[in-house]
Amino acid sequence: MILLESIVVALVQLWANKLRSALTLLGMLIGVGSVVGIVSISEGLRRSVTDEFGKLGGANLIMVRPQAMVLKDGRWVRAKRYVPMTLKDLHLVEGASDRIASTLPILDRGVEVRYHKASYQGQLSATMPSFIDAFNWKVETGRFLRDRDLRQHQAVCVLGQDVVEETFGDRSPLGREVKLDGVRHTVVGVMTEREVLFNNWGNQILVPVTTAQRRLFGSKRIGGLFIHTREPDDVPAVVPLIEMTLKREHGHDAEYRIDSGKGILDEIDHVILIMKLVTGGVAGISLLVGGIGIMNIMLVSVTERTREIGIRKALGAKPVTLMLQFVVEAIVLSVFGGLLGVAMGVGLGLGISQIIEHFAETPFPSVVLWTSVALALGISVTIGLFFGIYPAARASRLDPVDALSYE
Amino acid sequence: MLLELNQITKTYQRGVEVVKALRGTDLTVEKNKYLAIMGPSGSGKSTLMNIIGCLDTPTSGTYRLAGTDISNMNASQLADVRNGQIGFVFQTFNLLPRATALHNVELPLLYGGVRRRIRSQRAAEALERVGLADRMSHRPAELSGGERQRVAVARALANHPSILLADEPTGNLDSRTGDEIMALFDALHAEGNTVILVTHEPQIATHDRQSCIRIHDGLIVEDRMQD
Repeated sequence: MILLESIVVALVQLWANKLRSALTLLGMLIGVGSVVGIVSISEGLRRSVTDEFGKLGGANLIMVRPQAMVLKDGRWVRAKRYVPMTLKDLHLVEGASDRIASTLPILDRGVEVRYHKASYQGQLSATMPSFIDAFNWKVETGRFLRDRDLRQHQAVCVLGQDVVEETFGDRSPLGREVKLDGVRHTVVGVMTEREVLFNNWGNQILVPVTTAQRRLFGSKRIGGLFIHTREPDDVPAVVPLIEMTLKREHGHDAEYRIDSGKGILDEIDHVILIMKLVTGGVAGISLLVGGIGIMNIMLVSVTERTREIGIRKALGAKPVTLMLQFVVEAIVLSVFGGLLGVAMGVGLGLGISQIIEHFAETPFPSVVLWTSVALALGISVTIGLFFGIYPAARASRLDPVDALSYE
Repeated sequence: MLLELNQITKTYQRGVEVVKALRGTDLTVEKNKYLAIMGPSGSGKSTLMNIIGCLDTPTSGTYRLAGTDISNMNASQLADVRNGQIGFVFQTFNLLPRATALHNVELPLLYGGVRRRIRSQRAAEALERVGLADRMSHRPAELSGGERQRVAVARALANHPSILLADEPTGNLDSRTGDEIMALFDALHAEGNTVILVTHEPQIATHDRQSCIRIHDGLIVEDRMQD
């Protein structure tokens, strides 16, 4: 049938003019390739960040802190009432919803770790046993904090890898006593190596919150709460419940600052979407250039094949048939370029993800969004159609007599 | 009556010049006629041929082909008439250079909507008829002048047209090959085809079974009709 014949003729033409076809394809290739590549990399970035976040348990994390300063009419002013939080608030919030998987205190500061002659400046975090599940961090040797440690205000601690390296070297710290800002604590466990989103957790020293309050902070206050919901999608529902619970206890003028991992992730998604659209759009402009190249070459082709067009018309090809033939040729060119562009874009995405993984030492997934591929191909067809119509119309309108006598 | 031309005129503009190519031509051709149209260059014989072949429409006058009035058809309708009724043979062969002989012959069948298998069959039959059964997969560049013209004749026959229209068919051939082609036309005429030949060579025009008309300055001046 005519369509098949047109496609065959198109391919024959392409092959017969290899250099010219290659140069014309280049425009489409670069256009499609850059769009697919950019979308692929953007998506890889989004997934990389999201995954890292997820490892942290970040997607379903809510941080609640009493607000010291509030933004009023564009200026930061002191909050009307600053209501410090205690473990009582922790227990209150815990019971606020069954969609809450865990509540942990935020209580940390810098601390000096001393063991014999060694000294190390680390980060002290006062926490509870559910910490390791909530934050997905495992103990490498020894054990983590226990409920009994909290009840009995035990002076125990669990160390991060860097702390151990700096103070104990190769020796096992388990069972040994270290001084945390002068207060003796027994090491009961060492955490695994961990780096998330460029933050090294190896400098952490984890102690029971009750012990820290009594021995190190000298106060019942905590800085805030880490709350993990069961699922990230629970966050929007839980946040108002938390706020309500706290305000009911402390009064409605108590101000709290609530941040959620989901909120941050949504922000990231939003930013990356904008990035995709902008960079994709810019790359899309080169698609336009590709289309113009196709129209140009088709015009040349029509002129070159004037005689051939005359012959076809003499044999009975209707104007609409010629039109179809040349539009198909333009589309074959653009889709061919588009397919090669997809291959290039995928390759580009793969290559760059490997480079990033190597240099940033972060997993960077190579993502091929098949929707972007389909979109790119769809655009290729459209461009072939749009830019091929004018030359095809010229071919169809040639006068057979004139065309046949064309030199 | 297969073909009736009545007071055909054709006027066109060449730059500022107005050219009256045909100035009131009448012509009738019956089925199975063998007609030669003769005339010098500029006489209007090419224009006449283009109108007979439905490649061009007359400025005024009527043209009836196989009972249908062609004179006011649009480009698309004319293409259909050409496809079904006219078989062209050109002086310069006008084959598609990048297609095989078979594919060249298939072309009118393709445009006529004939399905692929039947298409190949009929094209092969046409090539056999002109004696080129063994050259079907050759491209024009691989064929001699005479062979190319025979492919063109096969192509002209493919759709079983009412008229075979040949414009100086031997113009680009040597005399021996030219004779072969003319013999082919004779044979086709003997088989029942209607053949119209346009030429300026008197040897081609003089032939036993042929009728001959002379055209000069857009008018038919001599009409030697055989029975």
